[in-house]
Amino acid sequence: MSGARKYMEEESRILSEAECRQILERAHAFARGGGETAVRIKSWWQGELRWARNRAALSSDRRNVAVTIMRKTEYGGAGSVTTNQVDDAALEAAVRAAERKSDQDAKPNDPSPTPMIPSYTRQPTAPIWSAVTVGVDTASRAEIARKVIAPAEMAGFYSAGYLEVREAATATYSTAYRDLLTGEYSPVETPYIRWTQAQCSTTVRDVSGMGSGWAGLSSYDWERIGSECDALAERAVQKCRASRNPVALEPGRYTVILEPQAVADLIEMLVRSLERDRPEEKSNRYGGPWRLGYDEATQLLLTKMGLKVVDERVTIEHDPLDPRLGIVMSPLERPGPVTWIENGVLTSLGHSFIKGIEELDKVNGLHTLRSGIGYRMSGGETSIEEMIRTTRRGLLVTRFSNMRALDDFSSLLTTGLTRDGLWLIENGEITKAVKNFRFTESPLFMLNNIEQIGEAVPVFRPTKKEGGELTPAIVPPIKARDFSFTSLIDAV
Amino acid sequence: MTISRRDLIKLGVKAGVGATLLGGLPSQLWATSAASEPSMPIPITDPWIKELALRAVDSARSAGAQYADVRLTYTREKGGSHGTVEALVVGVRSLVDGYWGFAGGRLWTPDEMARLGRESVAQARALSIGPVRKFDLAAAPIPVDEHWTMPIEIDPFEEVSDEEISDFLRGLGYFIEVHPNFEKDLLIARFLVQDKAFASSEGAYCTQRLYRSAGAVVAVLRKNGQTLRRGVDTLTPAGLGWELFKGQPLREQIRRLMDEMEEDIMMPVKPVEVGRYNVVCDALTITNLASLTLGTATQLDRVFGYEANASGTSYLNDPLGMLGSFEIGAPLLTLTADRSEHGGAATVAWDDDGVRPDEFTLVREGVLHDFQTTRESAAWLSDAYTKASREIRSHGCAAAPTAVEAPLTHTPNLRIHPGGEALDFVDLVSGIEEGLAIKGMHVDMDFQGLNGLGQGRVYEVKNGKRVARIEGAGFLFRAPELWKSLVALGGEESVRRYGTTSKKGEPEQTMYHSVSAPPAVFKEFTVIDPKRKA
Amino acid sequence: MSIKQTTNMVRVLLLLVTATAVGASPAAGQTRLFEASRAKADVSTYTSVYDCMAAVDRVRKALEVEEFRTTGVWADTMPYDPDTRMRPWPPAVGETARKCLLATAEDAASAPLGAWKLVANLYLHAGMEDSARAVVERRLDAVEPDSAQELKALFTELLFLYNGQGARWTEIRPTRLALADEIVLSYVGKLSDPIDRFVVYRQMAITGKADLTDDSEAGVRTRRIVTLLKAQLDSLTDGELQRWAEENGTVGVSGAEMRKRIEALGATYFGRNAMLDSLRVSTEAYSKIVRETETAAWGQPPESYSYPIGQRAPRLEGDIWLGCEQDPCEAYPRPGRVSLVAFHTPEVAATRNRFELGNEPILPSLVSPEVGCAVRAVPLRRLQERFPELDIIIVTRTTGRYAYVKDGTTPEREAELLLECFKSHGLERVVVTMTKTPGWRLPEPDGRWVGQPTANWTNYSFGGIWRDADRSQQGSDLLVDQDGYVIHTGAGLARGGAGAGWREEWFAEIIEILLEREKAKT
Repeated sequence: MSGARKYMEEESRILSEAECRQILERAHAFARGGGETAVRIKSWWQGELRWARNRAALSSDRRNVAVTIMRKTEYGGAGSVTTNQVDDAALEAAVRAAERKSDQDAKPNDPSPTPMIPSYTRQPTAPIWSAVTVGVDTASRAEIARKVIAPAEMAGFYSAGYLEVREAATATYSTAYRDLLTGEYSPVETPYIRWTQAQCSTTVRDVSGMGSGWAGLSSYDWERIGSECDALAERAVQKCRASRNPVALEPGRYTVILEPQAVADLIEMLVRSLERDRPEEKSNRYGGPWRLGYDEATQLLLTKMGLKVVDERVTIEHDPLDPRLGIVMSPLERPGPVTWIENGVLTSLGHSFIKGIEELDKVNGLHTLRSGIGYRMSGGETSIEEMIRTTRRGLLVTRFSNMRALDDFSSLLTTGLTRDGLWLIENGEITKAVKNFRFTESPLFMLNNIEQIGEAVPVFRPTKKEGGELTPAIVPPIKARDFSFTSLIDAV
Repeated sequence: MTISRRDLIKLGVKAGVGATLLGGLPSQLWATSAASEPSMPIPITDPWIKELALRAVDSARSAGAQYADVRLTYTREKGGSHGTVEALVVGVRSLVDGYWGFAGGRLWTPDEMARLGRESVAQARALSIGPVRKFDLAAAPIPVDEHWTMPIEIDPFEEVSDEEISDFLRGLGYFIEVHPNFEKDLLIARFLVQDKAFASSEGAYCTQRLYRSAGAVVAVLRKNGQTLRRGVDTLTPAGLGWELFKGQPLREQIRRLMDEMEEDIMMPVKPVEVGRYNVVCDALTITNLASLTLGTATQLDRVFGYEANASGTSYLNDPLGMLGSFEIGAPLLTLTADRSEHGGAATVAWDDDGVRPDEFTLVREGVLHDFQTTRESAAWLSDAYTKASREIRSHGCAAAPTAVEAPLTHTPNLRIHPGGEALDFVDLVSGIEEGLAIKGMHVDMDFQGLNGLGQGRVYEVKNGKRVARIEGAGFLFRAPELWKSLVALGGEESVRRYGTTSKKGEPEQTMYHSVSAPPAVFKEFTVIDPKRKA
Repeated sequence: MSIKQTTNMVRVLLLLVTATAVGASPAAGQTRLFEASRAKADVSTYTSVYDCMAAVDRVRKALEVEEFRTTGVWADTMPYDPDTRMRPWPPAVGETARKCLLATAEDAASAPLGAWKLVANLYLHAGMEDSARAVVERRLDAVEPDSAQELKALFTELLFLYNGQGARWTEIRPTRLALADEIVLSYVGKLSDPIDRFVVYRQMAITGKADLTDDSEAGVRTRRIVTLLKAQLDSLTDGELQRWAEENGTVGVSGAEMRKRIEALGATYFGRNAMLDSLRVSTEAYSKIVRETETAAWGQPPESYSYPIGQRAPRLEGDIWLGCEQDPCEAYPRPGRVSLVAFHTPEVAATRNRFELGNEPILPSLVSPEVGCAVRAVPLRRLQERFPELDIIIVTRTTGRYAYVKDGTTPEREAELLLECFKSHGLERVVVTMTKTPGWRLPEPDGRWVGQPTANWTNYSFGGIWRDADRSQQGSDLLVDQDGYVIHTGAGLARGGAGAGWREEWFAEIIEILLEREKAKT
């Protein structure tokens, strides 16, 4: 791709590894009062295009850095400040400010010897940086947008959407515990990691605002999205057309066919909860959906580890080698694939490097275990068409929106809205468009009422944070019983 | 080489030692690697800043922009979750054949200004190969070399020391803890100051210094087996300085909070009974409702579908038809907006279009009167404005958190006008024979500001008195019906102002604004148990 | 001409032209990135006693920090000085209180009664004893005539206040108990019930107590109060004493018996010297008198005494012994040596790290992981420096990890690392005995591993009478004499804190006597 070549020629839009290294060296050179210095650096570039009413609204190119500088003077505590300026004057000022904070809280240095960090062999991971992504230049972005808008305009609808490519890098360096350094797998330093992310999503609305359809995709690699753009546009248009003039249905329990995006939206909170309670939360004796409660006899919080928590057809896992699931892995991260839920049984929970320590009795070795940053959910054979055909009465859901936890401690009970396409299915056929609903349901409940599962596919799950890290997901469509819709929403 | 930490202790690590730990790096290496230009944020009023700003605009113009503007922001924060943060950023916006381009970066140097100017045009031009787009920017007075500093009493960065701030917070903790059964919880004071310069190809140049302060004081009451945890509601974000804390009787407010907690913890607790009730809402509840329904729905960019793929659209879907005629609420509902209000969280002297905001009416006596506009979007209403023989002008709602983010329409400071009678929350409650009272309701809205679900501290009211706490009540409503069922408003004295945030855009932006409102009474408010499934 | 040169020139010109137009000229001084606020905290502008108290805390901490920075010595690591509470804070502390109090709206007559303790504390810091007394008396006067309970509680609080103990904020130095006594005695008459008055005198006697035979100021005071106490006790009828006992849940005990117990208790409180004298004679004599008086005070038979004083120290077991100079190591505690047997569990160390974390966003790289023994090592080191001949034995058990190291951790490795840790804190000669912790797994699905007490922990509970051995938070210590008898116990010699220092002092006293006694023999 010409764009890629063009990028290779022009100078980098984010800080290089050498530049990041030098920031530590320069900052430490400014240090006064001895002690240690550390820096955490995040650098990002984003190329963005927003459109609405079939016209590009804004095309932008933005970049920034965030450098957190921490000083611990010989007699001081830990003090840190964050800046986005890395010239000498600014770095020195930042170092002084961090030292002022450090001095406010003097502490003796503790000479307790710290053992060597176990070193880990480098983990092969799927690529997370794509020359194609960084090569999607301004002109190509505009061209893509036009392609996505065209079918909507043709159909007499309004297309709105967002297209973004980004590149980011992060690194943490320190002068502390040099004797503990074991290269890029030390907890003291995190290596220079560089990645890309691309996303494209579009909402097509009919001019009177009576119908709305959505489609979107995200990946580290634009190539995966570029090839799908026409399909995305087409799906959004078709959904808009089919969702016009919806009828109102009574709230209640319905069999639902959730498209992959809807499943991903619904289980987001569940996936995020797939980690051990942080120690400070232990005070909450029954805290967390993966706890069984407090056992007076052993004085322990019992976990659901090893128990069947959802339908046995459900497996939620992550494999860093899966080319669709490359993520920014932290050093010391547990090597290889992780399975949180296997055939419906809770098999492991994420935990962090130091915090997880009390609960590591069952875990082999000591390391970070990912929670569901990126994940893959097992699928089945049933196509959505088949699901529809075999449904006497039910609803087809495109996606959910405006989610909020009503009870995130035990049941993950969630409320939220359907959005951009909801249809009634009668006797195996889609019969009419339906007005949106507010639902009140737990993803655990839904995953226990599965009737059919389809093929798992990549869904739209970009990170919102500027320069934020990758969060890819592969999710199947699901047909489930007794999904609880609690009130009518007539927003379109 | 490896040195054990114990050796380091013996040596008493000095910077030099640390440097040798870095593998004895030759000093030249970093000495010579000093970054290009010094980044001294000399006073925003310094001509040097104007130099930079004009350079960006000129470079955009000479690259072919028909209109261009630039923002430079120097933002300082302290006391927040990110600790002490300082950032300089700049963003240039160019208009070519009716298409916007934007380029943002972090270097305040002449070269970078020039690059961003050119880049923003390149961005716009990439779009403008399509049909030329008719494009008006509503006319606005042009500020020339003007400066404005938000009128605060005590600068939290320069006129008060961190020691004094922490003494004050710890003091509040002691105050809470001398009261039996009470413990202190959160004690937070957050401050932000933003120096901002704006220049446009129309010759505008203005600079301003904006402040934002916010805090939290949370007390915990443990009594007869129950635990209540509540904070004062008088420290929400505001366009004020240290006086947000020092300028009001905070300890008195905390004492009142603790009295109410004592009162509540003694009250009987009842489960919710689903049904329809007359409900008295406190000022905080009304501000949340107003902000998330009317405040969202009257953003003109949402109305026109510019947010369709992000936070959503608006139930006010026919702006030209509805303007001046659509009954949006009961006749006693009047909602105005004002970004120049003293102490407002969205208060500025000039918005991100360089427009001096005016006070304007969104809802007049229950009728939709206007929308939140920018120079771009005001023009969309020109027909309606002309028909109503009203001036076509921006209300100054263009905003973005910092200069590296492109301006969007963000909610201004809002104000629900009080009722004629001098009533406060208690008076309104005493007017209710049988019903509910709710305090501090937070609201989940849909993507059109239309349907909502609210939850908060709910009380049963009998014969004008709060007699019990209701557990787990949820309030279900449609915005139009809600505001039409408004039957009473508190008086001027009962009006409270709260700062809040709203998110929108792609990439997402979070902005602050204030909402002032009195307590109010709604009739026939639908109450459900949000945790009960269908 | 480069762009920079040009722009700089233009800039200079612009300065001249637009300096007025744009208001401030750069001459007004540049805002530098991360510029420190020029403002300083000025307590004379403070408006409330609460802020004043916080300011006093801050100034005191700052001085501590300053001292540390200049001397390089952290207060906690200094030998404990029993007179600390009598030594005044640096002048700046009192000045802060004085200056701030003058500024506040409140004065002694108007200060909020709810905060009487804080306000009085502040006045005492400021050296304004009369004002402090005025506030305290306002509070006492506010007590309803019939609420003796409240009055008694207030007496206790104000005794603590003047004795500089038990407060969340900076306590007063030096302590001023005499003043507290004056106030209490002038109000004790409000208590009509002679029992109540007796209880008050007892509280006075206990607070800041010293031995009756001490000729220190505290000794004199104690003698005076105890005289009052005795007189009050004598004035009580057996009937009254029995009623009091019953009110406090001790049923079926005669007044006469209560009187005995109270006198015994007095002996334990104020007769420490007598006990130490008996220790100079023999361990047997010492443990006998300790047992008898302390059990008598609770009306129990001596054999029911819940401390192992006078019992033979069980033989220590260990899978791994380090630093052991005896064969077999199991011979520890060694005959002919005074030994300090210190039970140490990782939980003790786990709390240590907190001191590295402020409210800053922390980069993990500058926070050392959860290891350490500083809490225990520092006081032990101080004892070792004072008594080189003291044997110190660290009794510990495996945890399956050391800090973050779990992979391939063996009991040997754990023991080595722990020993190294103690040595790194200057505890040069120390014996470590490490035992593999027995344990069991929770039934599947959970399957977590749950540890059990080791033989040492069990043996040192002396048949279950002594529970301190597995106090995981502080750890625990036993002092064993040259003949292998337990002579003294304490729950954790922790670094810092008056309580810890006090415990440390008692250990030191006894060790000293034991060593002298041995010398005298030869």
